[in-house]
Amino acid sequence: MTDLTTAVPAATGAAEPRPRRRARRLPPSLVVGAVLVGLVALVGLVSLVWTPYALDDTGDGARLAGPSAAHWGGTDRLGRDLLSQLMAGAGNALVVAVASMVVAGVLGVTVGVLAGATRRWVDVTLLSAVDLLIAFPTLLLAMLIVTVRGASLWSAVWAIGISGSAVIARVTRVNVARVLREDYVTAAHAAGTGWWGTVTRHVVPNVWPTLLVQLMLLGGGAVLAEASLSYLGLGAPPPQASWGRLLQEAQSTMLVQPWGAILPGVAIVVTVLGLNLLGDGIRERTDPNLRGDR
Amino acid sequence: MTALLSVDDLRVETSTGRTLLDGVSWSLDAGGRLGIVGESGSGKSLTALAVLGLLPEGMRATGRVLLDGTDLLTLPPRALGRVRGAQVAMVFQEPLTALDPLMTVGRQITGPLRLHRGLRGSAARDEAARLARLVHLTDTERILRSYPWQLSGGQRQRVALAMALACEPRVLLADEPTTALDVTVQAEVLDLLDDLVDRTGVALAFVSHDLPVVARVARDLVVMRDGRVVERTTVADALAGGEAAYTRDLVAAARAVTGLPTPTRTAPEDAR
Amino acid sequence: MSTPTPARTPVLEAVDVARTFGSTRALDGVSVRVEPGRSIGIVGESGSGKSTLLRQLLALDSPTAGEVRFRGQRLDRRDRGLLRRLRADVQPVFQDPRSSLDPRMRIGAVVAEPLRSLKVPGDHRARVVEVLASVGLDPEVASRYPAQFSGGQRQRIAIARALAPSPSVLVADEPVSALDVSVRGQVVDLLHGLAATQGLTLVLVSHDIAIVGRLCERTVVLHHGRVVEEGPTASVLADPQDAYTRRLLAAVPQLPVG
Repeated sequence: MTDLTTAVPAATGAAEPRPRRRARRLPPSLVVGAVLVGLVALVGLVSLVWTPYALDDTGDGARLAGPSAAHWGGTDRLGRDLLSQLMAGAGNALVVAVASMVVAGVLGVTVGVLAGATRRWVDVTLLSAVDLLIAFPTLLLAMLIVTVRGASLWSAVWAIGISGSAVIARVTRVNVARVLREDYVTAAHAAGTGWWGTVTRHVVPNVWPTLLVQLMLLGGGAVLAEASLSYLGLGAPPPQASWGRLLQEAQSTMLVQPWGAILPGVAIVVTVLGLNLLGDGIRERTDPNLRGDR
Repeated sequence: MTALLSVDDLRVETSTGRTLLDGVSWSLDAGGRLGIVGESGSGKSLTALAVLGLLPEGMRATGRVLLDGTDLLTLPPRALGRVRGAQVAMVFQEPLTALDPLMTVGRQITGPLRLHRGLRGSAARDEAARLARLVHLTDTERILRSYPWQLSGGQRQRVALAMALACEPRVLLADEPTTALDVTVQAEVLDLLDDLVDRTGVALAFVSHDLPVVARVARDLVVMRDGRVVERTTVADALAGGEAAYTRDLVAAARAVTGLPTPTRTAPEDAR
Repeated sequence: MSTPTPARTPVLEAVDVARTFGSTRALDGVSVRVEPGRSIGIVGESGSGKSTLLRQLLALDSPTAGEVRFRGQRLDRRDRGLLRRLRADVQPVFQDPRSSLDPRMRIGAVVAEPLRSLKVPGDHRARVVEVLASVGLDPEVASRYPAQFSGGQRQRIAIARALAPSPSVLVADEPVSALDVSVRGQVVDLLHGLAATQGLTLVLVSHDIAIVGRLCERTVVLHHGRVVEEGPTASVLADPQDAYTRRLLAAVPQLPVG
């Protein structure tokens, strides 16, 4: 089966460099994902400087109203504008997603590289810790952190980031170990490249695309996790807006004003879907098996 | 003379419209020995896969692949499945991929015997032992009870050959069957193939990048390059100087780097 | 070519080297002398221990018994200074240029890597152009990625990388077996030419006794971790003493002279 994968008739003379066919067309999942995430990010950014109403503005008293010209998304049980709450929630959700990705990325990559690229006992020790962390429920971790630091956006970020770092560490370790077995790493060692040079020049560049995909998926998970934590009252406290708390508040009034539940629900779905599609798109774009000619 | 298996104007295209095989034609007579030689990217393996209807997802074959007058390309999948294995068998470069790691070698050989030839129980076991002896496996009893990973590369390839021959196929397609083997083992497997064709009368299509290996077992020769057939000839004629310039280049390259240099030609100076 | 003096110190020498992995003896008392400016071929099939021996000669692994000497000095993987001198002087070329070049590095960076890592003084960019030219490649390839090249070109790039720090020894591990037949000859010629014009010492590790026969003055045959035969290539090919060598020679597929 040697030439099945290279069965492309490449009319090359021996000394003529083969022009690389670079796929100019972006994968659709990348485009759709970027658009969705971009939309949410834009709304979140706008909410920092402008929302139709102030977040704590109970207005003229129209409570639990349906969508109208004055309140496009309707109002909640205190008469606050739902659209404004939703917009501010977008910013909140993205801050949580990005910050959790950073926490999980820094922690996970450090642990993964140390486990995969140093001594065996470091690997065994770190992996046991990672396994323990994977088995540890995010919710329990969040409760512990909230107990210590109080309920806030950043408590949620730490909880989600730390528990997410376990998966990132595992993925990093597997990929680091794979790259270290490649001939080009042996070649680098024989060329005098040390541990640090090997990690920074060969391992990280060959591992990061896979990690970026994992981090995107983690970001989607973080949005969901933050919504759950806020729903349970372990997330950002009022007056900060959060989609999870919007859901929780709307729960008792679902039958009177369904928009209060539908809108944050849709917002969560769009954001998570966007991040997952973005992850898939990056995978398609950077997978070395899909480019080059191997 | 009517051919047993003939490939007529075979084209393979990807879903994006790229042509991978372009007008490939050759034929194999009953008991014939055809070598298909080409470098990487020539489409030689793809040709073998197309004949068996095993093209990867997204590739489409047109043209005709006639086995005894039946066009395999138009055959429905079920009928094609019966042809595969029963009439046309295949061995690959890496026999491990063709063998189920969770099944003993004996069960893997008796499987097709049960399926295609209706052999049961001791009849199937006896036939499996006969096949194992046919491919010169020594210590048959132990090997039939082993799992694929317990065998050496050469033993695995013999087992793969025994499985391929289990249903007494009329055509054996061998795709680089000795490329992954050590030179000494390769020589044994080539001898075995030679011997099997003589004894069972199976027609052999042998695909390889390695001209000296092909020349060892084949009589007719198809030279491929970039998805096309460059020349259809015989091994003897090609070695005597082929029609096509590419064939001559291939022969010259093979002479230059494979095979042993006669000491008079290189005469490395004595070290001391 | 320099004139051989029998008492010269070998560049690389394995002295009674053994390497065991668990209960497997990959190398069992192997001694090989690599004389400066000469070419030596190490032939063996899978399981012969040739790859293990190669790793020993490149100081990528340590022997369980015996020693490897570099210019007369015993190699110790903790001796940084000696190791640095070895890395600058002994460069490897691997079998599969698809995996021996980092797919995410530009060719220029690939070829310059030994220069950077070994902190070789001088203009790295100029040296890259120079070694690319010596393997028959255009300087403009430096800005491209490995995937844009054919197997033969990639092997040339790998050879250029090996030449970059001006080593005196090239250790080539099956340098042509992953290549198409028509390209093999070019790479063999290239290695041959480089060895001749730059006075390089060549260590060729291969399962293919034919390639060794074309490139090397001396041949060592390894079988099950032991040296079964050693001598000038011409006499090993013409008059093999060991039964295994004879079997190996008989197995080489030959084109009948036409």
